[in-house]
Parts: sequence; structure tokens; C-alpha cells
Amino acid sequence: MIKEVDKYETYYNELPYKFEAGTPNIADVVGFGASIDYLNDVGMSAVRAHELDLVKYAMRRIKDIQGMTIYGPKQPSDRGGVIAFNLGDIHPHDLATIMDDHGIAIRSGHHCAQVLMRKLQVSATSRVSFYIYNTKEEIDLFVQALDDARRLFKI
Amino acid sequence: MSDDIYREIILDHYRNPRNKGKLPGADISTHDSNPLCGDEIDIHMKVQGDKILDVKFEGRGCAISQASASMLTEMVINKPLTSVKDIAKTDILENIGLTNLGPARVKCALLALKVMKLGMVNYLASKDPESAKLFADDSRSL
Repeated sequence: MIKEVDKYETYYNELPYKFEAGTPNIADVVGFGASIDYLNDVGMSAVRAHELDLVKYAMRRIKDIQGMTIYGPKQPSDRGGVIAFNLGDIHPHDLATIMDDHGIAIRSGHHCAQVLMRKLQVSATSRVSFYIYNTKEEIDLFVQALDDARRLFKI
Repeated sequence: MSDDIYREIILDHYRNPRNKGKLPGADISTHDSNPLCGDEIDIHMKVQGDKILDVKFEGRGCAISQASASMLTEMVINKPLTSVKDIAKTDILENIGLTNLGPARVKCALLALKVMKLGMVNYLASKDPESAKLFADDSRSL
């Protein structure tokens, strides 16, 4: 935003106004309000209960898979809706590619937590995340995809 | 598609990498990484005249990046150093049988070549800055 404009000179306003020209981000503010209404309608305790249900189910399904290492708390109730893991010597990026083929999106890499990766002595981990729109059937598909990865990498 | 990517040849080079390790007395040692995914490759080469006498790589990362590096070392050993310039992206991808990789994974497959070309250019520049200019554009193209 300018303070004054001459034919050959421009004077910008002082901070922060010089960077706040144009229409404020009204659409995002309205969208954020709608999101809050939506989640309040579902109920945050229901969100938590569903996530915990899925994490419990997924941990039970994957913990005994050969080559599986799960990071973080053993108790599902001590977790958020995510499970970070590694499967044998499959690099997480390779695993993510295989998952992608099965229509499953996982996060792979160092998760912007390289210090933690060094502490865990791994170069990267895979991470599966659950939310209110996920189902146990999808976790079954995820487990099938893990089996396929083990087949491809002969683990 | 995973079956097309993770075939025997990739897994073989991933689990039993060729020419992997340090190379004491190397004339060329170059390192690069892919900051997005954390793949890392070091290429070491011993050179006499224009000939690559020995080459080793060190690295960590996904099967595609490590297998590509392993295969690349086999491609260049005992070859002229300047022949590295003539290795195209497609040569690497065809050699390891990955011609339909998505753009994100192509970078994994080409990291070793990028490092090797960089090492070649820097080495030539240290010997003869003028001739190295001929190769500089090539190494930047990856």
C-alpha cells in the first residue's frame, strides 16, 4: 500500500501496511468459520473417539507383521491419529510409491524432524494418518498394500 | 505399476550394491542430496588422463536412488571421463528399466548421474577452465 505517488517517485506506507494492500483474505476467514461450525457439529470428543478407534484397530492389524517397526507410544490412547513406522529395509519413499499404486496416500520422509530421525537411527519413516472420514475397511486395504510391499521386496 | 518398478534388477542392486564404499586417493569426490526426500549420494573416482580407473559410491536413500548409483558405477568404470557427458537421463532410466517413473521419482533415479556430472565438471575445471565450460550446461540440465 502506498503513502503517496508522484510522477517519478513512490512512497510506500510504513510497516505493516505496505504489505497489506488489496482485499483482505475474507474467503479464508469465512471458510475457517464454516470448518469450526462443522467440527463443533460433529463434536470434538467424537472426532477423538473415532481416531482412537482406528488407531487401535490399525495397531492391532500391523504390529505383528514381519519386519514391522512402529515408532512412538505403544498405547493407542497415548497417540494422536497417526502411526509412524518402517517395514523391513523398504525405504519409506519406495513404500509410499507402492501404497500410491493401491490408492493409499501416506507421508514418507523425515517429516521435517531430522534430529528425531538421527535419534531413531533411521533416514526416514512412513506415516499413516487417520481422520473422521477414514474407515476400518480402508485400514484393511492398507494392510493388503503392506503385504504387497513385502511381496515386492521379498520380506 | 509397482511391479514394473520394483523388479529383480532394482532389488538386486539395492541389496547388493556394486562399487559401494570409500575410495582412498580418489581424484574426484562429489556429494549431493535431494533435500525433499533426503536421498544422499557421494561419488568418488580415480582418474588417469581421461580414463576412469575406479569408481565408488556412498549413499543412503530409496531403492531407486541407490540402485541407480550402483548401476551407474558399472556403466562408467574403465571409460573415458568425458564420456560421462554423453550419458543422458534416458540412458539411466532405460538401463534400470524405469521408463515410466513419475516426475517425483525420476529425481531419485537421476541423483547419482547429477553428482557424477558435477564431479566431472569440477575436476575438468580444475585442470582446464575453458574446456570445462563445454560441459557445464550439460551438468546443470539435470
